[in-house]
Amino acid sequence: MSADVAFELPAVFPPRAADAAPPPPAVVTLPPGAVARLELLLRDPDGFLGALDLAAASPGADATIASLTRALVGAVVVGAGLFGSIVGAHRGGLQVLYCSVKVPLILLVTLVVCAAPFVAFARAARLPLGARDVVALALASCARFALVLVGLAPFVWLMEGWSLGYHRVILAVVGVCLVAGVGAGRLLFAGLARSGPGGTRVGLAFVAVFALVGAQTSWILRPFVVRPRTAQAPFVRSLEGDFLGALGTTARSAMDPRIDHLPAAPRSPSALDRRCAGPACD
Amino acid sequence: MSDTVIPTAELHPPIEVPVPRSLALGLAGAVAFGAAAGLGHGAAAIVRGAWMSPALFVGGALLATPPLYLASSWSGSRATAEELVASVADTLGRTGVILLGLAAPAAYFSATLRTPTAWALLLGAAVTVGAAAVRAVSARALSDGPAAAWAWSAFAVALGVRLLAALAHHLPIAHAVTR
Repeated sequence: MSADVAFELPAVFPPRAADAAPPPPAVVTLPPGAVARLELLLRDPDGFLGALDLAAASPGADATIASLTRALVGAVVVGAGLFGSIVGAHRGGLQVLYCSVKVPLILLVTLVVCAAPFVAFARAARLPLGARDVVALALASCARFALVLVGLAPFVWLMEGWSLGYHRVILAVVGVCLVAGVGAGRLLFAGLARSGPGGTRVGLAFVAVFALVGAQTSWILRPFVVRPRTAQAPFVRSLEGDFLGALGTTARSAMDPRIDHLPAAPRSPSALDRRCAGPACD
Repeated sequence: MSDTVIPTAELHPPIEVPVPRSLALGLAGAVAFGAAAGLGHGAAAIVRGAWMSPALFVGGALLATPPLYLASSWSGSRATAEELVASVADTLGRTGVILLGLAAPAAYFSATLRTPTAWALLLGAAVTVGAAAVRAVSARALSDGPAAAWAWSAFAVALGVRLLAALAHHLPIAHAVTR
């Protein structure tokens, strides 16, 4: 074969991406059905926000927003409840039920307490968002948080199964909540950035207040992770201490490998342990 | 005071806020925040919070305004005293809206948090909101002279610290923590 044979690429190859005209942005509409809407919320936050704008501007918006709100609240209750049941499974028994109620309560109570500051921040920054828009955005972020929690619940279950110890399981739960928080923040910041240049600062203020109130609410509703050998776990404990102090103690304990392997203190002998002697033993 | 209205810059959509309304908002927000912070510590703490918070925020704004005018005139700005007062009032109004919103979490923490963290949290919130207000005023009123803006901001922060120190003896939450 001669070396100067010219090869020509057939014209079937598409032009390179740099040469091609950018495709027009796809218009995403809110799909029918709660599951499809939650899937859009989880997979494509920008598409979800665009669809929400379209839905709010279309006729019959009130009914659409109402059904979407129900789906979001449902996602918070079911998603956080499932995650809570996995967390409670570390102790088992009634704690599974307690945690499946308390974890959704954390999100909902925090949302209620934070609604007023969220609206105030948006008003003070003069963002063109009404109270309903702000609350809807916060609720959608909470729903995304709950959905990510469900997705990561098997990781917590795995950590519990490896018997890594009480303190490390707590750190795993906190780590999973941080990851879910990043996922929720992605939606929140995207939604606020669409509203104007001050949106990012308002988002930072949102996150700071929500994190503080959420930490306090979770502290009030403790215990969540309970040692398996604990005889009786209450639904809630009395008001004492605070979240940050407890997190510091847990982090120090998790770094100390002796904590979870200390021999149990000798218990006082019960009636069943005592050596039985005499005719009464028959 | 006249019903001066100021076009608030960099806003979307532009909103014009009358000065008396801004002042009333600032005062109401500060009173609500202070009263909410004392909610978990009895009626006396609520009353103390209700006067101390406006003393800090509104008093701080009043004390920092004359030096702001001097800094503005020395830095070559042509803003009149009335425009400066309107600018400060607008920032005070926005601060009041934020404090009004923060009243709910303040009441929540006041009722449920009984450790020294509560004191740090309250102080942190007051300092953050105050610093944001100082930053907003200096960015709007002293945009022509960065040196004057820095000097006035440092003065305003020092003034706030002084006011806080003077009011600290009366803070209801400090008594609750040391109890």
